[in-house]
This record gives sequence, structure tokens and C-alpha cells, in this order.
Amino acid sequence: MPELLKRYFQLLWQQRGMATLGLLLATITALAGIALLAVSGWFISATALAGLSLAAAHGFNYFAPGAIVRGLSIARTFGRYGERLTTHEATFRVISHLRSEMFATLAKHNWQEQPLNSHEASSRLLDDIRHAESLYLSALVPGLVMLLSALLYLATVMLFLPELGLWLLLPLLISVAVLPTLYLRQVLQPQNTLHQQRSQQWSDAHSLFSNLRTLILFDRLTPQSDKLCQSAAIADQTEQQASNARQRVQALNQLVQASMILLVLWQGIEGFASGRLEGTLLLMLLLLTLGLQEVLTTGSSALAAFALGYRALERIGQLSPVHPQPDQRQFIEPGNPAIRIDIDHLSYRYPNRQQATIDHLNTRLQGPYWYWLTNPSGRGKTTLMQLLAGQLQPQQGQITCSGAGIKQIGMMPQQISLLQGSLRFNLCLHQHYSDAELWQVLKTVELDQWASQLPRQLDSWLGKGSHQPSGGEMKRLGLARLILQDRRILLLDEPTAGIDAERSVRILQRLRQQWHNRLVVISSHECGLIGEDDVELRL
Amino acid sequence: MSQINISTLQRCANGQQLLRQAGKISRRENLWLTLTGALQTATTIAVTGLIALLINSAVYTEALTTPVLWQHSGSWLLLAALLTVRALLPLWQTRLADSASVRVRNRLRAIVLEHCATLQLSLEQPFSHAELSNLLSGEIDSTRDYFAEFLPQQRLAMLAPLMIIIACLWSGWLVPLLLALTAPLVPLFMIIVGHKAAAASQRNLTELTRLGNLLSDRIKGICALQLADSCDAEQQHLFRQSEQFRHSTMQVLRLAFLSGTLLEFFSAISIALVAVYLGLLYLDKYQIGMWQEQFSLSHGVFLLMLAPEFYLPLRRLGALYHARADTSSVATHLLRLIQLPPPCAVTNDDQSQPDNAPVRQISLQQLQTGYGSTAIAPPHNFTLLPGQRILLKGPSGAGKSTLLDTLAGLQPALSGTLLLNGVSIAVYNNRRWQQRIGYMTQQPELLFDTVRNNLCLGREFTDAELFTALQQASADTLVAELPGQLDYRISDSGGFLSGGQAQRIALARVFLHQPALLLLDEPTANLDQQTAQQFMASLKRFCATGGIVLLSSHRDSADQFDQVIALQPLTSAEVSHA
Repeated sequence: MPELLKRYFQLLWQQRGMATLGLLLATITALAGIALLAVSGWFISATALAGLSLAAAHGFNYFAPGAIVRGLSIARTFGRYGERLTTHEATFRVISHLRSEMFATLAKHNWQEQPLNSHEASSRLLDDIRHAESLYLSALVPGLVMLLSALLYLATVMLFLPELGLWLLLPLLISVAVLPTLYLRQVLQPQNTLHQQRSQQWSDAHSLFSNLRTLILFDRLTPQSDKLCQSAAIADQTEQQASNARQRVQALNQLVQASMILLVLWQGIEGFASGRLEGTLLLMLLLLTLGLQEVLTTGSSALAAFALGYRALERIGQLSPVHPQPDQRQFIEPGNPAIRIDIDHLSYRYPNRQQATIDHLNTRLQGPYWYWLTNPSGRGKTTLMQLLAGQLQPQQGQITCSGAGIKQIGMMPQQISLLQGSLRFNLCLHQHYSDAELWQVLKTVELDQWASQLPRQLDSWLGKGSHQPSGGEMKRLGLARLILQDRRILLLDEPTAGIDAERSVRILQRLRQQWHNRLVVISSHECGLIGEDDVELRL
Repeated sequence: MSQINISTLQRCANGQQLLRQAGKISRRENLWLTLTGALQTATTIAVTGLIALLINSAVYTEALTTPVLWQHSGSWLLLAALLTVRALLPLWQTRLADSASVRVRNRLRAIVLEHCATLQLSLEQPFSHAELSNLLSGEIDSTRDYFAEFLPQQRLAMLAPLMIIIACLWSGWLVPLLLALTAPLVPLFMIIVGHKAAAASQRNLTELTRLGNLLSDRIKGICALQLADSCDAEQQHLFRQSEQFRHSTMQVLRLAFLSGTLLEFFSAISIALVAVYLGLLYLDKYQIGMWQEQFSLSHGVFLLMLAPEFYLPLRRLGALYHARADTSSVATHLLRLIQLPPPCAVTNDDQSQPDNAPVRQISLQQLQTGYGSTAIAPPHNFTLLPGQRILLKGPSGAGKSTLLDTLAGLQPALSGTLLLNGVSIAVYNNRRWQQRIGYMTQQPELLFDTVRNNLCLGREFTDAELFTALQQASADTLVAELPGQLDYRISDSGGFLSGGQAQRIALARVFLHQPALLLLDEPTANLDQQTAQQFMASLKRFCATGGIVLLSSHRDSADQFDQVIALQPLTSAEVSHA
């Protein structure tokens, strides 16, 4: 059983009070609904038959059945309301924990080798999270209610007319076990295909809108639009096929249920004719069957929902490796004021590449110098940074840091990600800094003017739809984050791309003062920024 | 069949109206769906009637004539046939519903794309690439349930109860009256409770989306959090947010579930009422509501079994309410997009320029660039000659990119003229002009497609030609090392192409197509010095064959250029000759 699934059930067990109550209410509601129909059926047949003779009609106690009918209808109504509230409450309680724990699972993993930022990976993940969340609500509750109702139904029928019970055994088994399994197949199989096709559609759409200029100039706007429509049509077709297949199973379900109605009628009338069944019970058994069928229809997708949730939790669990790669960097003499990184025979090859990106690298980096990696692109500058930061683990060789602990290495990645939240949040990232510190840092990276223009300054919401910083501003935001984190070893990947040359010079000047006793490694194309005391490092 | 076109949709005042119009696209399927739905209800009524007669014949009536109904095998066959029809009809309905929704979605996509083609670059200001991609590949797809299920069910929720009332009139008038009286109560209550619940559930939905977005946003930015050592804090934050969401949602749901419960209540209470009423009637407690004085069990069975069917379509509709809520937010996005006005194009009849007359001179006279009606920089006055390399200099926001867009004919000029070989030419949207332009944007534009398709873009070239162009852009070794070389698919999950590598491939494309005027926006920003020098050398070779290069940059030194145009946001453009 996947680790996360176990965890899911643990969480559900923690909420067992609410979860059981929900299940109980769901069962009561279902049974009250079935019983309401059945008792009503019995009541009118009994009164009708009693009405045939004046004496029987006179002596008929109609108060008790009337009260039962009213009671059941009220139980069904309030049961439904309570069921919905409790099942949702239980689900949300589990979700709160599950969401945050799934995040923690993902956070243990380094996403450099296998990028998460691709649309396909992230949309798959969100899909999975949704399926995982609805495990209790759309799988466990309807499934268990279906099983329980079916058992009670069978027992009731057996009580009144055992022969009919035997006849119904097969169709019931098909409804409860075979059809849900068939349905499951029809859901699971096309789900992957559809996901891939929708991803293809997304990438066609993205190609269209992020290449507008090129496509217009080359007169390719129409072909690219057509391509998008085509991939949408392919995905639509798969969706249609899947929906048809599911409906076929449902139709089969309806046929089985129709056969149950015929069986009940036929056996019931036969039973009455041969005196084994009272006439008043015939309509009752029929309505009992009709009531059950509503529950069976709802429950038929439960198994599929369970399988989707199961797979989803399995996949999310698989994202974090069973044996996480241990951090191979060594940290010695953390208190030593002299900072040094020794790199011995370091080699790294990406899993899907043939050649090693970094091949037996030997070098020594010493504070307080600034080291510049100025190689042409594609020679492993970023890879080296990520190895130093511990985001990648080498296949061979050793990185030894002295004079700095594991928490003393800071990095500004090439791609700065903006998180939904205020400017303050984007700077602090859950650490605490005073306003004065924040403004000081913003001044260092020359974002203070920009920030003071924002409607609510530090508390302004950044991101899509509100204040989207430009490429250069993002870089400076990344720098500000790094300055605040105050680490002893600083790794900067393309820090000045998109920033004016003059401004880059000014900002670097300030950083040199701020970081005068630290070890700084910068990868950059801009050789003009290299200072007199700096060291140029070639890979 | 009516064909809804864009102008119909543009006139819509709000998203709901747009959805109504869009629903008309599948008018024919909708009609069939209504008919099959009615047929379904009719079958149910017939099945109920037949069952009522069968039970009646077996239990209630004295066997005066032999054989009675239930002893006829014909009646059983008829029942089996009706039940089979009722079981199989949904197959056809699903098929119809799916093709209806596919047709609507296809048409909507086509309309959006058609409008995008007229909007061109005006799209970029109000919408981000991601928003547009999501609209066309996720949001429109998500309207399936609305067009396939909600719309047809909406009609059936009116029609089916009506049919059942009419059927019940067979027995008497009190039960149909009872149903008819509760029927308007249902929509009334739905409006009272449902409106509040709809607003609340809409809010709830927004909250849920926001929470989902928060999680996806944090997952996307997981790296920044890892680097800041903040993952634990973020986990707690997510938990708190979820808990907060739980409290607000449960408040909303307490109200929202009321509307569903109400339907449940009517459905349950009507069964109880009908049963008690019929029971007392059979016991001769009163004589009211039936056509005949003496009536058989069949009437009772018939009425009792139909009572829950009366509310079934409404309950189904209630379960589909989420589809409506989801779709109306998509409709709002769609409306915002299709109501964007296309750029006011300068008349484009001046295409007198011969197709391939060599470019001898391009002059800008008081050419004013800008977005919409806002001028972005002072008007431009300069002349470009064949073989020249021109540097466009200026701080960010001085309008460098806008000027390049305007020269490429992608952005209309606000005023002023452009002279080609001394003759005025309207370049905006001028296909012939655009075919002679090479343009490399700041963010290199590459399709998620093979390297070959990215280079050729619909035109024919040999592999040798492709590699020559790649070599000019110093991208030949880079491509040779990719798996599959020219057939390597560029995608967002590859990770093989860095920013600089993507730029070199985009550059190779420009060289491949040999334009007369080459526009480059910050081409050296992501290049290392060595490659940048190679790049400048290849530009020189390109100019030697008579091409014109206009390059914007805030970095390159002026000494490699024949002309430098300095743009200032406020003061006039200065032209100096190097």
C-alpha cells in the first residue's frame, strides 16, 4: 500500500467520529428513502385490500403506518442534510492535513533533474491532488452505503420470499461487483490518454500565443490555429469515446436493474398465486427494489473513484524517491573564519544525457574572493552552481566546504519565481525581517522607488493580474532575497541579465561592500562587470 | 441550422447571455435531446402504468375473465421491451449530448482564434500567454458538463414534470393538483434559497480555486522556498489556510445544501402525502379527488410510483449546478477577450510596391509609435540604407521594442509616414512587407515543435541550408549534440535548451530566411562574449550582401555600427552618424 494512502487512512481514522457519523447518516438516509417507498407501497395495497370489505376497512389502524411514513420522509430529508454536512466536514479536515503533507513530500525532493515546472507535470499533479482529496466523499461513502443497502435488501427479500432472494442474487452481484469493475476500466484507461492529449493541446496553444510575432511575420498564424483546433478535436474525441464507454456500462446497469424489476414482479405474482406471499407485500417488494436501484446507480462509480484516488496517492508518493540521495557535500570546521570550497574530481551527468556536463573538475574557491564563471552557455555553469548548492548530487567526486555550515550556502537561481503574495512575503519567504531591513535591502538593489510606487508598498500583492515585475525587477527581487538570507557562501546564477549595465555596476558595487568577507560565485556572460580582485574561473 | 458568429457574441451584455447564445450553436442536438428526454419520461409513465395494471390484475381484481392480464405473456414482453428502451435511451442521449458540447466548444474555439487573428499584438497587453493558453486548452474544455448535461436537463426539468402531471390526470385531480401546487414552490424556494446559495457557492468555488491556485503556486515556486529554508513554514501556512477555508466553506455549505435538501423534502413528503391520501381514500374515510367513485389498486400504484419521478429531473438539475457556476466564469473570460476592439488599422490599399523590388532606402518621417492612442516616444525621423548596421539605443521604456514592432508591420503607427524607396508605404498588416522582415524578439520565440519546423516555419529548405544557417548563428554544434538533432522536439519539460541556446536557434532562423530588413531586440543579452563577437561578425557578413540590420540594445558599444539612434522617452530622438 502506498505510504500516502496509509497516511490518508490514518488521517481519516483521526477524524473517525465525524467520518463514521457521515457514513451512518448516509446509510440512514439511503435506508429511510428505500423504506419510505416500501412502507408507502405496503400501506396503499393494504388499505386497498382492506377497503374491499367494510368491516376490514373499519378496523384498519391507519395511524401507525401514517406516522411511520411521515417519520421516514422526515428522516430522509434531514438525514440527507446532515450527511452532506458531516461528510464534507470530515473530508475538509482530512484535506487540510493531506494538502500540507503532500506539499512537504514534494518539498523533500530536488526538482532540478526532473523539472516540475512543465505544464504536463504540474497539471498532472494538481489532477492527482484533486482525486486524492475526494477519496472518502466519492468513493468510500457511496461504496459502503451501496454494499450495506444491498445486503439489507437481500435479507428483507429473503425474509418474505426466499425463492425471489435466490433469483436476485446474481443481478445484485453484477450490480455491486461486476459493473463497478467494468466502470473502473472505462475510467482509468482513457484517463492517461486524455491527459496527454490535453497537454499536447496546451502546448499548441502556448506555442501560438508566445510566438505571435514570428507567426504573424511568417504568415503561420492560421496553420498554428488549425493545429490547435486539431489537437483539441483529437482530445475531444477521446473524451467522447470515454464518455460513451462509461454510458455503455451504465446502460448495462440499467438492463440488470430492469431484469430485477421483472424478476420481482414475476416471482411476486407467482408467490401470491401460490399463496406464499401476501398480496399487500407485492407492491412493497417492488418499491423496495426501485428504492435500492437509486442507491446502486450512485454507487456504481465508487470503485472507479477509489482507484483514481489510490493511483493519485501512489503517484504523488512516487515523486519523492524511496531512498533520497544523501547530501554528499562535506562541511568541516564551520566556525573557521576563512571560507573555502574544495572541489575534487567532480563529475555530473544528467540522467537523460550521454555526455557528462561536468567532467572531473578540480578546483579550489576561497573567500573573500569573487569567482566568475564566464563560459559559453551550455558548459555547466548552472550545473556547478546547483551542485554547490546541494540541489544536484554528483556521480563522482567531492565538494568540501570549510568555514561554513550547510545552512550557510545561499543561492540566487537563474529563474526567479514570484510567489502569489505580497511584496513582503516575496522578500521574507516566511522568515522575519523588520520594515527597516526590507527597505534597506530594496535600496541596495534599487527597487525602493519601484516599491514605494506600489499602492500598498510592502504589502502590495504581486503576481498575475496585479503588479507583475519585469524581468530585470525579478532579478533584483531575487538578489534582495539572497541579501536578506545573509549566507556566508553566495552563489549567483546570471544575476544581472536584463539589468542595465550602469545599474548592474552600481548594485555590484554595493554588494561588494556588503559581502566583503564572504565567498561569492557568479555565473555571468558580462565580463565587463568583473572586478580587479576577482577571479575568472573556466570550466 | 444557425451559425452563431462573433458579432452575435460580442453584443452580449454578460457571461450568462453569452452562454445562452453559445447554447444555440447546438440547437439541433438540443431539440433531439429534449425529444429523447420526453420519450424517456413517456416510457417511464408507460412502464409505471403497465406495472400498476399487472399488480392490480394479480392482487386486486377477482378473476372474472380468464386469463387475466398477468397471465398474458404479451404484457410481460411489452414490459420487458419498455424497460429495455428505457435502459438504452441514455446511450443515445449521451452521444447527442457529447456531440452537442463538442460542437459548441469547437465553435467557441474557432471564434476566439478568429478574433485573436484580428487582434494580433493587441492581445498581449490585457492577457498573458498563460491566460490565453489556459482559456483555449483548459477552460473551454471544462464547459463540457454545462453544454452536454446542464442545458438539456434545464429543459427537461420543465417538460418532464408537466408530462407526469398530465399522466396523473388519468386517475384523478387531487394528486396532480398537489404536485402542481408544489411545482411552482420549488423554483420559488430555489430562487429564495438557491440565489443565496448560488452566490455563496460561487464565493466558495472562488475560495476553493484560490486555495488550489495557492498550492499549485507554491509547488511551482518550491525551489525558492527550498533555497530560503522555508518549506516547513510554508507547510504550516498551507495547513492554516486550508483550515481557514474549511471554516468559511462549511458556513457556506450549511446554506448551500438547503436548496438540495428542499428538493429532497418535497420529493419525500409528496410520497408520504400521496400514500396517506390514497390509503384513507381506500378506507372510505372521504371521497375526494378521484374521477370515479370506486377505483382499483392500479390507480394507487400508478400515482405512488410517479410521485418521486416528478421531482427527479429537478434533483438532477440541482446536482449539475456546479457546472453552471464553473462555466459562467469561463464565459466572463471569453467575453472579455472577444469584446477587445481590434487595433484601428491604417488603410491598407497602398500595395503598389512591386513584390521584390530591391530596398534602396527606408525613411521614417515624423513616425509616431505607441499603443492604442498613447504615444510612447517622440516621433522618429531617420533613414536606413542597404548594408547598414544601425544601433537603437535607449533606456527601458524609451520605445525601442515598439518601434521595432511598428517597423515590422505588427503595430499600427499613430501618425507619420514610412517611405520605401521614396514612396509612402503602409506597412501595418502588409503581408508583402512582412515577408521581407526578419525579427528576433527579446524572449526568443520558439514553438513547442521540432528544431527543423522551428527553422523552416512552413517554407522548404534542405538540411545543408539549415546547418549553414545554424553555423552562422554558432548553433550548429549545439543542434548536432541534441538527441535527434534537427528532429529534436523543443518542449517546456526538456530542459535541454538554455536561454542562450534558444536565442541562437532563433537567430539561425532569421539568417535562414534572408530578410531585407533584420530587426533584433536585445539579441546579445543572453550571449557570452565569444558568441556575441561571432554574432556581430555574422551580422557584418549579412550586411555585406545588402541587408539592413536594426538592433536594439542598452549595452553594445557604438563602434561596431554605422549609425546610432538614441531614443529618449521625453526628449526628441537624436541621430548621430558614427
